[in-house]
Amino acid sequence: MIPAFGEIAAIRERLFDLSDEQFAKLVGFMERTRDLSTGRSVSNEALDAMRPRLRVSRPPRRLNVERIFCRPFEDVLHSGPDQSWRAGRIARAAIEPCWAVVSQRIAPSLLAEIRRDIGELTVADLNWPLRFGPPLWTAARAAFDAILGEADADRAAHAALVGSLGGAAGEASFRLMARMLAIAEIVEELRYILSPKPLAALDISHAAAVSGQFKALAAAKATLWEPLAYFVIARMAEPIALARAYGGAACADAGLHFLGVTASKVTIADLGATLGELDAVVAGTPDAAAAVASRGEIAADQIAKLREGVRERKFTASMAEIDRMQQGLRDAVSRNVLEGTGSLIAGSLETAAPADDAAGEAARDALRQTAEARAHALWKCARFAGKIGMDRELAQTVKSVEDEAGQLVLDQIAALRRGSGRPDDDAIDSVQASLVHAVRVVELVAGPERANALRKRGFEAIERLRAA
Amino acid sequence: MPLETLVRPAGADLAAAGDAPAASTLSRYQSDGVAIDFTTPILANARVRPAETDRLEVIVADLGGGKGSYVVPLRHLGKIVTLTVHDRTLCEEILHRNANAPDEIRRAVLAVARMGLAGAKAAKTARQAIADEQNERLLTTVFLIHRAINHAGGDPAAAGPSLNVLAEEANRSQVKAQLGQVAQSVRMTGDQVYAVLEEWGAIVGGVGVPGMPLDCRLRRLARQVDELAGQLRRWADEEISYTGEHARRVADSAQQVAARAARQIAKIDAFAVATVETLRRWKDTQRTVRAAVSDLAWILNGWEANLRRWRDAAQVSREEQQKTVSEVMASMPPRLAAGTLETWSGEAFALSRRGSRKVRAHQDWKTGAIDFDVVRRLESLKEHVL
Repeated sequence: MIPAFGEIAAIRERLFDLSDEQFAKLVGFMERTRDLSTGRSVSNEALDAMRPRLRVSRPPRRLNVERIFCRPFEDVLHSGPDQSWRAGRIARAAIEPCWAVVSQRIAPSLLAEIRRDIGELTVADLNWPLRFGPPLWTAARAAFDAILGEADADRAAHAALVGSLGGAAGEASFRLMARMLAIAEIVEELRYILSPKPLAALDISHAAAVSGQFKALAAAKATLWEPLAYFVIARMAEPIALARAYGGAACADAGLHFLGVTASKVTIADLGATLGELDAVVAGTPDAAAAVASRGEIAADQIAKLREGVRERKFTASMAEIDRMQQGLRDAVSRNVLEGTGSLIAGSLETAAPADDAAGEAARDALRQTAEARAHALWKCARFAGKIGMDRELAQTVKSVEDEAGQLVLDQIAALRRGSGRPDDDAIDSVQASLVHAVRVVELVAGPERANALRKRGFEAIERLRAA
Repeated sequence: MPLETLVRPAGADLAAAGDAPAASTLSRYQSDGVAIDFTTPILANARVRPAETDRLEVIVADLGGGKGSYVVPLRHLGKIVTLTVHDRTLCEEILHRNANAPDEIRRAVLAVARMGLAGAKAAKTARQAIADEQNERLLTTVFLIHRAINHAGGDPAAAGPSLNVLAEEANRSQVKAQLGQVAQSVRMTGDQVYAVLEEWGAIVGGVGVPGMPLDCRLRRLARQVDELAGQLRRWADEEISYTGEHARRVADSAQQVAARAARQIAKIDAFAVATVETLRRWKDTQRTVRAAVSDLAWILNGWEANLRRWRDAAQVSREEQQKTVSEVMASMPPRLAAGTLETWSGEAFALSRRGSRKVRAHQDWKTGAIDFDVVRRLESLKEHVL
């Protein structure tokens, strides 16, 4: 029985209530179901829902043909929400359409043989890449060559291919897969050398191994150096480390220099993609400020490193482009984090009276959480404001938020005290919740000392209200 | 379903159940201190224990990652470390309650989290945890009453008052009447038996009794710690860095703790299996039962936080999981106590403190701005319901 979509929500909710044994059984069932064409999409959805637990429970995953096919490019996979193309990366969403096209050109007998030999093997079996990889990769390479040859020679075939891959981004992923498969054996060898992932830098032995592989591919430099560079870059913690090490004209090794130059391009492309996404963030949406703050911090750091690398002539890149990216980041921070922060936080503190009903209470809780998230984003942006020249704007916003939050909540307590008679417990509890919220906001924007002073002052006043 | 069919066969006999746990084992746990859910990043692995005086002190692992620990008086912690408002309030609460055992510290932690100082979600989880504990105590009492009535030879099908029945004040007299037979056999009145069962239920509420349809907190925690060991081993099998070895060591430790907890739970269950005998000797056994539950809390001390960390790691990348394993490893107390330690004083206690350094305010300490990303992560750990 394949679970209905409604049951997937239940799986997601009760993911950690299952014992390990039950969970392993469920995973095994889903993986077997995935092999059936009727159950594929639901099983994929269910396995996606189970991913958080899979990451920690790690029941042995069944080996399958797709997994063997993906092995040469698994390092460059990215889990973006769509198939959008990024230099040196392949979207996970591109795997299924690409495999559907390629597998049609692979001899069914070979696929059946591999499936039969896989049996109940799991990915925990260390020998699977060497045992099953080469025959499948060879067949897949031939299939890629045939498909791309036809597409390059005939417009209609090209259009049909693009259509079945879901567009130009799908086609770009398809072509990169083909090139990664062409160096599958090299990638397999290098993977063990460039471990554990991610590497902070290439040491002498790593660099020698990588350089050796570039040299071995010198005859196919135009097509295969790039996928090799993408693979090495994907094994690194920060591609810019490669750009700094090998991107300069002083690097005498042609392969490593190519790697360094590609790394700087990938860094700039990644940064451009990040800033493009930040630019597309709709200001005022619940997660906009948090997204800009957290991704902005990484982007600011990358921009600073790019600028430093270019200044020190470690690699070449356009300073004007770097300036443009910095301005893009400043705009994103202004639009999503600074604008409207004061009114948002004031709005979350405006009334401390008990809500009329559960819906009102929930709405107020949601508003407070949004305000706290904004305060957190403000704190985060303050950390990198100096790198993009926004210190003054941030400091002004922080000051006004701190003053306003403290004053509003103390006014609410004072108003309660001024009322006739002792305020009821609900009203006191409600103003205490408002105080706690204000304390958390002040803690984020102005630090724990100031927040603690507000807490003490507020709680003393509330205690006096309770004692009255 | 008749209640008796849910009850596991008796394991350890009552005499064995009354045995105290090995003093050396327990005292080692105690000298390590109680794990506490601070939200200040550098206190993430801190533990609290009574000092040589009657005050409390906080043990903080060496900030440079070296051997030994810093030992700081709890009341002065705020002068040495920049504390989050939550932690400052928590310190005040612990001092106010003079809490020093795992359950007492846990209650203080929940009380502060309930206020909302660790965020709205943590507040909701804390309120839920407090309510769940009350329900578990109540349910345990109901099951004890069931057992008492059935042990006295009553008809199992007709006997057991339900949770609803017990909750109704009006039915209490009816329940007490049903306890009449067992009261007679233990030479008490129905009221007395009822009071003893309520007291017993309150003591073992965190563990429950055999045959309950749900596992109470400490029993559940023991099972989860056992599962954690398996999960960490499987994770380590795919890990080629040194973190894999750390994961195996944590797994070994988790397995030992789970086995020890299982033995301790069996001891506690044995009292419930021999319900009538326990009731008959309640004056003597009450203290033993209480100590057994307390020992179980000590055995499992700190693992709730580790489970939360591991569950939190489910949402992040492999690299972050490696960090989590290292954090769990770092949170495990160094086993400094070699000998026996009956109480938190004396020579063995001094031995347990060897290698740790006292810290004076504004000296020998890394102070600085708090990283609220880490604070948020620590707060989010409080949101997981285990």
